[in-house]
Amino acid sequence: MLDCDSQREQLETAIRGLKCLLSLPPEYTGDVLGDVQMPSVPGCERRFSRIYCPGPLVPAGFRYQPSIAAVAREPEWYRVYMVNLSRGGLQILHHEQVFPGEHFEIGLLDGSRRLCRAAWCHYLNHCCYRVGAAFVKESSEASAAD
Amino acid sequence: MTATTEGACEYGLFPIATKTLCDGSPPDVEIFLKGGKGARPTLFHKRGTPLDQPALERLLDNGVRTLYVSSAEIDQYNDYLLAEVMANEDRPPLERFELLRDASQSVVLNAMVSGHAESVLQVTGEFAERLVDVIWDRQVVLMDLFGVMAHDYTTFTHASNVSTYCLILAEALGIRSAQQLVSIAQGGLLHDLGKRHVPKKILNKKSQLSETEWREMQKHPTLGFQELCGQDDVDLGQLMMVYQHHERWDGKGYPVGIPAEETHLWARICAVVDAFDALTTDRPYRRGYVAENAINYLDMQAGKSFDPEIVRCWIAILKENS
Ligand SMILES: [Fe+2]
Ligand SMILES: [Fe+2]
Repeated sequence: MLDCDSQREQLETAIRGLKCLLSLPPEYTGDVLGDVQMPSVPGCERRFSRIYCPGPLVPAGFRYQPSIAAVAREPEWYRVYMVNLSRGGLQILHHEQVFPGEHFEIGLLDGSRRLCRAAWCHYLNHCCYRVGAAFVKESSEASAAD
Repeated sequence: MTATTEGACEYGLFPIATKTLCDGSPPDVEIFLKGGKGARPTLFHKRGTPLDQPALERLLDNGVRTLYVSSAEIDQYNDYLLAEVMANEDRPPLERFELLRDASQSVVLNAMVSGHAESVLQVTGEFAERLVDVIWDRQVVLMDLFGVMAHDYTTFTHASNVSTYCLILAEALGIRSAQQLVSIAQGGLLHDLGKRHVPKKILNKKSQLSETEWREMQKHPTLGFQELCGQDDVDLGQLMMVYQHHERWDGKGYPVGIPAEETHLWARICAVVDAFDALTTDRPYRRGYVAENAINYLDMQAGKSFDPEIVRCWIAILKENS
């Protein structure tokens, strides 16, 4: 258990040390993520209902995977913040626009890495975008909307 | 899809513009004529024989704007179009612009309604190259050009008008590279490609859209982007014309809600002329605005919906040529 905790601490330290260009809007700062009510996201139609548990934003590692030829991306790790997580996908806050269909890798605090495909992106401020993405499975893909 | 195109597909025929057959030697293909709705096509021109020009004139006088060739012979017809019609330096540029528009209508429309992304790109790329050739290289007098712009709203006329306007505006804003102008013209043609995935009943609805329908409609920039982003020969500017043409200067647009300075220049150009064309063309439920009213609207929205500098430039072009 202790090992597990210290491993998590190490990972968290590593993730917190990653480059981060985010500027969090006031509603996303502080210890907890507002109230149970989440900012509504137009166009997000979930198959499974989601229960919101207020809590601190969770940091995660983020790295683009080459996916759209016309969009040049540096294969660099960034620190992003996870807004929520479901069985099929997640929502993150990132410092720049991510285009629908773009792939990126996400490194979670438990040490796991997941390949994701962006489904939508909304502007919050010039250094903060909220991005909804689906986990990419080997043969099929889950929807970001579940 | 237009009624004529649907009818033609039944018989494996491809619609072509009657006007493209006037003058010059005829294409080496069989040409068919189709009567009213449901009528079977009849042979109008037999391969290898001289084209009956008086009969062709009569068809045009009677408003027959579309004839047909077999889908198997469409390549020969396109070769003829390039060699005999579009490359004919004797034709004034304005006439060639109209011919290009009329001749491309069914080909581009077919690709845009039901073609794969590759064929859409190929067809729109060819159209854009010829458009730049006719308008930019040969300097059509803009005043004449505005006079012949289509005012009936169809998927094709909107796309082709937006493409032409984007080209004119981009050039006036200082973009001089022929390659970029072709890209912009093609981006203009493609900007609403995602609408082919929006249900027809929503696209054609004459009354106000419900909230759900409006959300469906708002998906078209994303759907168009997703369809094109996997293609190697699409550039970033074109993708942004498709994805960002409904973003607003004040950040209240969609799909991202990104404000002006973060939106691609080509998308801001497209947004202005897209609105201008939407305002000035006739719809089944309303007459198009006269240019003056459209100018007033754009002026009012400068700095709110649209980039004010681009609006100023577009209004200057319109006023100079009205
Ligand atoms: Fe549009
Ligand atoms: Fe449009």
